[in-house]
Amino acid sequence: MAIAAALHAFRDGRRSATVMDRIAKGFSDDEIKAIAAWFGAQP
Amino acid sequence: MTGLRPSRRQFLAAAVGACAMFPRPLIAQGAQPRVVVIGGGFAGATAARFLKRTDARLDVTLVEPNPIFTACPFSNEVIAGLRDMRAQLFRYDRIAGDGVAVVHQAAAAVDGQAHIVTLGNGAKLNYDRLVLAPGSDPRFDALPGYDEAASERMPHAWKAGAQTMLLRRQLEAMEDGGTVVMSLPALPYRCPPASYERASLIAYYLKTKKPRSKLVVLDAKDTFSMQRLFENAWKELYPNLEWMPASAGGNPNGVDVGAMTVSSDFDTYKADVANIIPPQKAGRIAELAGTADRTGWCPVEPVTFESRLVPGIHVLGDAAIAGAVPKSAFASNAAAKICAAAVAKLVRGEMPATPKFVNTCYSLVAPDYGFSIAGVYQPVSGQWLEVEGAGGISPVDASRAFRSQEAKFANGWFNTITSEIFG
Repeated sequence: MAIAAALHAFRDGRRSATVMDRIAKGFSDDEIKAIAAWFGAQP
Repeated sequence: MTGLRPSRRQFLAAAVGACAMFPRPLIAQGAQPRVVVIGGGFAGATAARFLKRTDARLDVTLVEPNPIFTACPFSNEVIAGLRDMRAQLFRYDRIAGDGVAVVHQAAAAVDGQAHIVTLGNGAKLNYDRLVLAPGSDPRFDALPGYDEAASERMPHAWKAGAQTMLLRRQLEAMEDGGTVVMSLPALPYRCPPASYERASLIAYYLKTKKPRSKLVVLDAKDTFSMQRLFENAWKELYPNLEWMPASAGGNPNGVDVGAMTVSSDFDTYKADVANIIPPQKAGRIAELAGTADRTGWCPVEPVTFESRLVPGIHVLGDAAIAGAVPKSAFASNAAAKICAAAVAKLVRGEMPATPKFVNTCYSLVAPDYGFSIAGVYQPVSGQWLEVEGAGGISPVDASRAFRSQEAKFANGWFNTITSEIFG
């Protein structure tokens, strides 16, 4: 899923960012999964 | 970035976690739970709208005396002549359109035992749950010489509106070669980084419009958030800005409005324009409701933001002391969503989910030069704490392109949050 992949990349420093790298570090794999699932369910 | 598209923050407030049933429902089946929200700023307006959005059956009333909201974030740009005040103004029509009863009255009293709010016009509102989001008030007894009348001559401009415009007009009217004096209080107070952003943007105004003028900042603190980022920017951009920390004698200890002087522990400064940011406390109604403690602020439980002093009352925004939760518009908005979700559960006798949320505060030191501090927060042992290893400040060695991008994102943040709440 694109959102989960992006969050993992921000968290692991593989994708450059201004602030999302700092924020993504606060979330576990399960939470990232839940975030992606929630966004995926939005119209 | 418009409208009602759900954002990341919305999700985070909606939260991760398990829900369990409470043994005792708090309301009779079929009754409409009544929730009253006092205060229509970032916290209260968010809470009212999200309560209704979470559960359309809730009877939600928003009590706010002003028909138009004036936003504080970005009002420093108004003071510096970089932004029109009209960009700060928001109406409550869309919130009312969502089915929230918006009452433009002041809240005069709260009876936390009987669960009754009395309005300025004498009308009474019953509630099952009350959300207080009155913001912060200046302590007009804290800095000798600085009372409400003095603030008409030496504006605090820490509530956006007439005070913002007063400070802007005073800066515009000042002759080149003048001295602006700012006075900054000790923590806690509303959005501390904004006081250093303001110093930066006033320095920007002076540098570009009144280059022979200077700014002296008298500070009750020795250290502050994003200090290295601010100090590096000041060194690079603003030789006209002199910051005097408490340890260098900068601690402000009084004003003389007649003489237009501001005193510190070591010296007295003659000001052509004085901006006094006084010590603060929770908004008056929080005190009247019995939710403020001896510090003047309101201690709350994590997750529900329910007052530790008066059950059934939830306190949000700048008025609350909630562990590590910062007094920022971003955090107030996030906390309000968490509180709204919790209240919607509580009135139906259900257990709120345990959330996690994000805060990001942007500061501008020039129109194209911004940086940020971010944090991720979660409840640990009955208190909100920052998640370790996450958050922090913008890189100290970032390029000007990076700073320029963050300045753009700061604008994007403001547009997103205000359209989510008021749009």
